[in-house]
This record gives sequence, structure tokens and C-alpha cells, in this order.
Amino acid sequence: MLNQIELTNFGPLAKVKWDNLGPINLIIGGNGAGKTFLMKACYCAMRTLEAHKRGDDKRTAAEILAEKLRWTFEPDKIGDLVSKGKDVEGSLVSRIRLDEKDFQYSFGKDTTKQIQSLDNDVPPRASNSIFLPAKEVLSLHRVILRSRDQDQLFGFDDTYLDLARALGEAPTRGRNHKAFAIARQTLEDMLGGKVDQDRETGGWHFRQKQGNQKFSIGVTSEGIKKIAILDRLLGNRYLDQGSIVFIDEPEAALHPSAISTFMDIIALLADFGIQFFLASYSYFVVNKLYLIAQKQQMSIPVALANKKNEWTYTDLRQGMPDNSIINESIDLYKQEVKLTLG
Amino acid sequence: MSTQPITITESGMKFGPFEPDECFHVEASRVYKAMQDGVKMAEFLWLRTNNSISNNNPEIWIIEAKSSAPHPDNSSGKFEEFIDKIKQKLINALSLGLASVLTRHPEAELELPCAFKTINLSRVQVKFVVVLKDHPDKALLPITRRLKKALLPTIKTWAFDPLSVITLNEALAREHGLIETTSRVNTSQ
Repeated sequence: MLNQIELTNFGPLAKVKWDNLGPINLIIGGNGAGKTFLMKACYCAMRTLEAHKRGDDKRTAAEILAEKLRWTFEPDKIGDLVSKGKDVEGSLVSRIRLDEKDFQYSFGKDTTKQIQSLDNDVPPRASNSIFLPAKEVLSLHRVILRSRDQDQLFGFDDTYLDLARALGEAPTRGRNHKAFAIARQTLEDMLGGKVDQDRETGGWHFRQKQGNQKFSIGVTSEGIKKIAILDRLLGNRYLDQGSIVFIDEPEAALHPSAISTFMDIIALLADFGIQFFLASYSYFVVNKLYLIAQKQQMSIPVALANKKNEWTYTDLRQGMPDNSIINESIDLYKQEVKLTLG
Repeated sequence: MSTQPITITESGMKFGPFEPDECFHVEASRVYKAMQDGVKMAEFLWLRTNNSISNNNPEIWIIEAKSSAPHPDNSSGKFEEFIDKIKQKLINALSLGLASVLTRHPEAELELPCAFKTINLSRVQVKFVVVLKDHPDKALLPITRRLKKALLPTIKTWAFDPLSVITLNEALAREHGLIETTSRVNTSQ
């Protein structure tokens, strides 16, 4: 489990130091605050640690990382990831603490592709982490693979490619972990069916439980595709107890009641050991996680960016923090009061 | 009938001052006292005759005041009980107010403020207003949503404006003229 994240001069993130991370971690901030950037930075570090020394991969961690940064953020050179501006001094520094072991690297703005400074105390990992982007990927699955595996083009970054590859693994038969089985059943109930890949064509379809009707993925709702992704990754055992799941805008394309159930599933899986990072704009996500934190007395750390892109840290277990999403809902409520009473 | 402005102290808040012509302190009325067994009642009715929101139609604000409310996620059912009780009080106040206007209660004629007697019942709008003294802004929305749902049949059957239910705290009540800006209740009394 990630215990701590410390980023300095990392793109829009001048300084982030987030300690005491929990099973579910929430990132809140306005447009351009760097929420997705923060999660992608952590994702790159995690995927580097997960690829390092796996199987016959002989690349050094620095080589894997440089490639991961390039294909995740898609800069001309990785030095472009160093924060710009006249007040910025020094290199980009990233340090994460995973299972109480440190992984740290730094580089300057002139770095093209070789990371000189990297220290790694984390032993090789067997688990896989994944990043679920806000856009759905099932209907773009083949396009993503072709664009990256064949054409080697920027466009679909590594978060898309890794997810497309992970989804391509067929579900494994046999007993799944109990929490995973419960989560999958809940997901199936929520969807009213299952999403499967056609082995011959590679295309995806949705099979509705009621009436056993089959629909092509193109006519399936965005919400169904989103939930189905998590189901698939549990079913094909890509995710296990050591996995870290980064979800960008979990609320996208979901009805509030589906958001609520989705958060319950996340809490269930977090209880089993999967760690989650969620970047959200949604009142429903924040409120539901607040209720989960209170009900289960679960620590849900929150990183909040203010309008000046300064970060503060709190925990939903201690109460609902003052944040832009809730404040906006209060402003809207005051407008309703004014409209009602004049 | 007195010509002195009316102030009403409820749940630690001092409402008013209101013109005596425009405020019916229904909970303290003789007509209610004569029937109160088994009939829960909101605090008072305030008639607004110059309100642009309702297209210059008169509005009756029915006010219920509480010092606090259970949390909406209270699993013991206390929140639902709270909503049901408030709903009953607001609807009963609406019924008694309009029944008084229709002179169905002869004893109410003397105490019903003059301005109410000339209301055009086919045009009047009603606002159900609950004031929760110390409730934070962010906690008002879920209570309003739940109360709106509870009062929806009443709003539909009377053809009131969909925006007819609102929950305020003391600060918002002050902003909207229900409590005088400078007023404070002396809690040592």
C-alpha cells in the first residue's frame, strides 16, 4: 500500500506532500489543479516498480520509468515535466513510500530521456496497478491497441494502453476471492448483465441478464462500460490484494445511485486490500465517501487543491472538509433559497 | 386587535417584527387552542403581498421553527419521524389558515389579521419555511429535499409553485426578513 507521496516541481504540482494514506484516498480540486497529473505521477512510479525485474525484463528501473513517463504524459522530452515559471527553482523530485519502503527519483528540465538519480528500496512486486481514465475504453479497445502497439503514436497515453491490454486478458475460471466474488455479483446486479469479449473478432458486447439479449458495445451506455471494466479486471485476476487502482472522475457517466453503489463496491474491495485513489468533482462521490468514512470508521484521506493550486490534507473520518464541491452546492442552495423566497 | 408590531420567540429565535395585519400567530391562537388535542401546528403564518417572485400574487409563508434536526442518515428512524411531524404541522397550519379565511371557524374571525381576510384564494401562493436555528448551510439541502418529497402531494393538489419548500438557518432567516438583523434572544431569560 502506498503510505506517502511527495512531489516537487512536477508539472502543475509545485509541492505535494501527502502522508498517512489510506485504503481509499480522494483528490479534490478545480480544473487545472493537477488532480489527474498527481494520479498519473503515482501510477508511473507504481508501474515502474511492477515492471522492474518482472520475468525476463532486464531494463533498469530508471529505463522503465523514463519510458513510462514519456508514454504517460507524452512530453517531447521528459524534462518538460519539470514545473515551469520564473519562481521555479530546482529539479522535479518524486518520492513515494510503498509498504514502508522508499522509491525516489529526480531530474532537471534539460533531461531528454535518461534519469540519472533514482533510489529504490522497494522489492519486486507481483501485483498490478491500473489507471481508469475518465473516458471509457471498451469501444476504443482495438483502436488503442493499434494506435500504440502498431503505429507507436502519441494520443492514447499509457493509462489507456495498459488498461486496454489488461482488459484483453480472458476471465479466469475457478473460485475467486470472496470479496471479489461479492463485488462482481454486485457489479452484475448493477449492470443487469455482463460485458464480454468475442474471442474471434476481439469485439465487445453486453449481454443483458433479462431476456439474455446481446448488444454491441457501441450501443451500450457509457455507465455500463465503465462499471464493466472493473468487473473484467476482477474476473481476469488482473487485480489482486496488492493492486492500486487510480480512478479519474469515477462519477463520469454514472447516475447518482450508480455512483453510490460504485463507491460501496470500492469500499468493499478496499477492505479486502486493494488501494484506491479517486480524483473527483462530484458532490455525490464526496458525500458518499464521507458517509462510508463515518459508517465504517474508515480513514479516507483527502488532498484538496485551492484556487492557487496549494494543497491541503485532511481525512473524511474527521468530518466533511471545506471544499469547492460542497461550497458550490451551498451556493446553489442559496440561489434556490433566493428563488423560493425572493 | 393590537396595532403593535408582532414578534414571536420560538426555538431560541426572535421572529419579526411583523405588521399585525400580516402575521397570524396560529399556534398561539384561540381557535387552535380549542382544537389542539391531536392536531400539531406550525408557529405562524406571514402574509407577503409584494413579492415579485410569485408574479405579484400574495404569498403566505408558513413558518415552523426548530432548534435542531436529526441527521438525515440517522438509522433509528428519528429523521423520518422529524420530517413527518414537520409535514403535519405545516399542512395543519395551511388548513387552519385557509379554513379561517373561509370563515369556517367563527371564533377565528376576530383574531385573523385583516390582510388575510381579503386574500384571493385562487391566486395565493404558499411557502413552507422551516427554520433550524444553528444548522450549518451544508446540512440544509438534504432536509429541504426530504421535506419537498413529503409535501409534494400537497403542493401538487393545491397547484402551488414547485419552489414552495425551503429550510433555513437563523442567518438565512435573517437575510430573508424573518428575523430582525439586530435581534438576539436573551438566553438567560
